Amino acid sequence: MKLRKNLLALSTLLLLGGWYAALFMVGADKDQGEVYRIMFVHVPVAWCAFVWIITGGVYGALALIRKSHAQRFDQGGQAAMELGTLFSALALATGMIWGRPTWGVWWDWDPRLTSTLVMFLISCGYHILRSYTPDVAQRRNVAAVTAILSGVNVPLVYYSVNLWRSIHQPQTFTRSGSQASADISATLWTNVFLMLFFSILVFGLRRLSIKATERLNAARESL
Amino acid sequence: MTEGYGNIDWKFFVFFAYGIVAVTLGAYAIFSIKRWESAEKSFAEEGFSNEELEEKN
Repeated sequence: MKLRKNLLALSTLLLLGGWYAALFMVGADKDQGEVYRIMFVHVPVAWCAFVWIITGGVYGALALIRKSHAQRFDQGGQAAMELGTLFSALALATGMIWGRPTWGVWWDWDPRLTSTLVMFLISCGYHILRSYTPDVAQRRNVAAVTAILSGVNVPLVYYSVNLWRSIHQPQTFTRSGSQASADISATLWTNVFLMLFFSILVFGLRRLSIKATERLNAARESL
Repeated sequence: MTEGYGNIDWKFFVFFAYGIVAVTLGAYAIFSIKRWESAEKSFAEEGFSNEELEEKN
């Protein structure tokens, strides 16, 4: 418990360091000015949303395939999908805050924005279905199928800027190289990895809290 | 190109975005820790043990 808390405190400090670099050390963008600094938090949360929703889908598939360990995979899936939902909401919120000064609107029914909203809504559906399915085995199956559906949607969100005409900028980092300067790339990647590290620690804590709660409920029911 | 929107300075948008992320993630991390501690504490206080639970299952 103490080790996990200390690691979380360390990752929080590192993340705050990354944010300090993004806010006060990197120069302004020649096209967007200072508002582009939102990208250093928007891109990491969007990547974390992708990672955790895909992880939720993988846990869902494992829960269906390996029935003997279904409880463990279900707990991991729930924690991953919670993080996926949270990060999807944050990606939408930070994107909207950036969109207002840059595009002049909070929202546009653009392919990237719409598919991200769909990703968020499917992950909300996951939690609603969990809450309204009282039977444990049925809940695990329903949750697993919804998590897989949510995970399958992620590549569609990622490639939406290439598949359809979009006002959202295309991928900055492609196989042919980066469209950003070296200092911007370094700060962005640092923030992506620090956010991912922080989210992995939070995932571990949340998975343990779900496990402890389920164990307590099982003990109470066994009386 | 863009330093803000209308009379609103760019700092408002930037710090608002970082603030939302900090508050949400901080609250979720604290929630996870508190739920874990609370469940572990209740399990011990109510006199349950892992061995007893495994036997019943």
